Amino acid sequence: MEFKDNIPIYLQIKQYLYRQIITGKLKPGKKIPSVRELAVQLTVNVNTVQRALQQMNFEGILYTKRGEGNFVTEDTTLLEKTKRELINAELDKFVQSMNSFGVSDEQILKSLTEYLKEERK
Amino acid sequence: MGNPLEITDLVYKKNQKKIITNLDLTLKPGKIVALLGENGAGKTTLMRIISGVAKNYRGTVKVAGFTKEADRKGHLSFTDGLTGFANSTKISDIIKFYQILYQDFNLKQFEQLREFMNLKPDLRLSELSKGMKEKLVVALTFSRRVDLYLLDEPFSGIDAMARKKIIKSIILWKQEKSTILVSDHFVNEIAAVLDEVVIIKNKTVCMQKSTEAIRADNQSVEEFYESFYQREEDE
Amino acid sequence: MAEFSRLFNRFFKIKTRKLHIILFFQLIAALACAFFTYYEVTNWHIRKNPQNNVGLIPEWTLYFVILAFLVILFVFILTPLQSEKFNHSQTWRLAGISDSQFYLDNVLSTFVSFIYMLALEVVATVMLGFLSFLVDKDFQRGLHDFLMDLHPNFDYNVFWTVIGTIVLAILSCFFLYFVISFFNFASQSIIDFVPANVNGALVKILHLFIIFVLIWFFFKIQHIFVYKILLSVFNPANYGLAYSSDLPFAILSTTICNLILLGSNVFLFNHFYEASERK
Repeated sequence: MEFKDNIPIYLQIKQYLYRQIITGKLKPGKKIPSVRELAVQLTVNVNTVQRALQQMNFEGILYTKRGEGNFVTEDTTLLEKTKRELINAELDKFVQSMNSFGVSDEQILKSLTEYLKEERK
Repeated sequence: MGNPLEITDLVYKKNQKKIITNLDLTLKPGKIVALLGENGAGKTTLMRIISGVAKNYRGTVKVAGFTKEADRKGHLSFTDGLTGFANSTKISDIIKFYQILYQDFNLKQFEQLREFMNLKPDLRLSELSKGMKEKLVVALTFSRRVDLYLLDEPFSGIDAMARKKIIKSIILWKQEKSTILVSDHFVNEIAAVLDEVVIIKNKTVCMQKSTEAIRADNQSVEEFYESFYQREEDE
Repeated sequence: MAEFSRLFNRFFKIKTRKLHIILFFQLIAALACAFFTYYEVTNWHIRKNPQNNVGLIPEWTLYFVILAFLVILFVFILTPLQSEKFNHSQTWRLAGISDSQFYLDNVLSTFVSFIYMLALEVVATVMLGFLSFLVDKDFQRGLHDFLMDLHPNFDYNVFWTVIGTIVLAILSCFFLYFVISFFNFASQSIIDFVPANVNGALVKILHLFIIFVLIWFFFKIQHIFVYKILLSVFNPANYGLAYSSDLPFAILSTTICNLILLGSNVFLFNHFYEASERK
């Protein structure tokens, strides 16, 4: 996992963990790796991981069992909401870059449908 | 107990040349801090003063609240180039030296680090490549339990793989409360593991800032560091 | 105190490491000398040297004792120089101990390892002597005659002179160590102080020059101090003592010189003499 240099790393760690949860690599109700394990795996500072996990705890996507570590929430509505947010963020990026190419919203829809048709063949 | 490091009003001269002037620096517990500056900016000298092996300075240096040199040396671990050993010295003899001289030296921890770094204990100093020696030095330094670790350019002249190994070992073996000060004239590779950067310029600390605060301004740590030396060239 | 003895042990181990090898070579060399005195080699034929009337083993003992003087002198000069290396080494000076204790550890371990070398020499000589006594009839007789000639009458004067001489020898030994350290510390401190616009080779020459000036100055001062000041205060004649009390005076003046040197060395070591990162 490579981090962008000019964006706070704790934000990028959060993004990384959201993805892991949405893609099912980290399952609802299951324990996530410890702070130190994550730090080593991602080669980042332990304090930074701590900060990311704290925020995710605050958001409710993770919860802490005392002495055991952090677990992924089983709250499906919250997971759904997170997934939607992630999708929206990706779409945002996509649409913005399309717009910057001068593609209008309608054209985006058309191109996307065509593209998907081609790919599905 | 005080902060791992507190320096106030440090002045150091050698051969009638000022090397450090009016330097203040405080490091909080549990941080990984980069000491950045050009070659010859005084990074090594600063670490040698903190360790009490450079003499005749003015100002106060406190390590974990202690000002006496003997106590300071007992509460910090400094990457030494192992120049006090003959080239024929075996790694196992160096370990013996550390075990006897430092009561806080943890053999089990060293063995783990040694295995992690793939170092054979029966090798002699002369048989080590630069990267292997650097790894050995870091392993020895981290095998002690202290409040302050001083790593003086631990990545100089070694390959990317060895560098990554050393960085990972730092994350793995650093105790929660201890603080690491790592000097380099290059910040890119270690930026992700840093809490703070301290920049030395014009013989003193000219900036101390949290890395996440730098990134929050949409700046990379490297750009931030370079901007300090850029400004000088522009002037 | 625990730190002090641990560092001492480490110093002692390293300083005595080579002594055993030196002793071994001394034994071999003495044996070789004895061999070529006892036998004659002509045209690749070995035969007993007709002019030699001493046995091979006593010969070996004799050569060993002769070589011992050279070896002891060699070790005596070498060990304090070696200990200056430790004083200069960052690896060693990072040990969690105060500079004063470090310096004392270094000096004391040098002295003890020298005594250890003397003990090794004595033990080896006694063992060789014993071996000679077992195998050589002439040696037995000679030793017997020698012991018969000896009239052990205990004389207090001689006893005190011997004790005094030993004390003076020990003090002189430390005097040498302290003087070497002093020249090293003082010259390096001066080198670190003067403005350095000169290159490496010139610094070396300057260093040597400073050492020579220091040596000259030091002995000048010491001479004045001992003969003009100390002698006027502690002149044996002032106390109605005879000429024979030169020894106490020598002991006293060396002790005072040692203390002054030790004080200035510890001061220089604590405040000015830096450890080096380089070998």
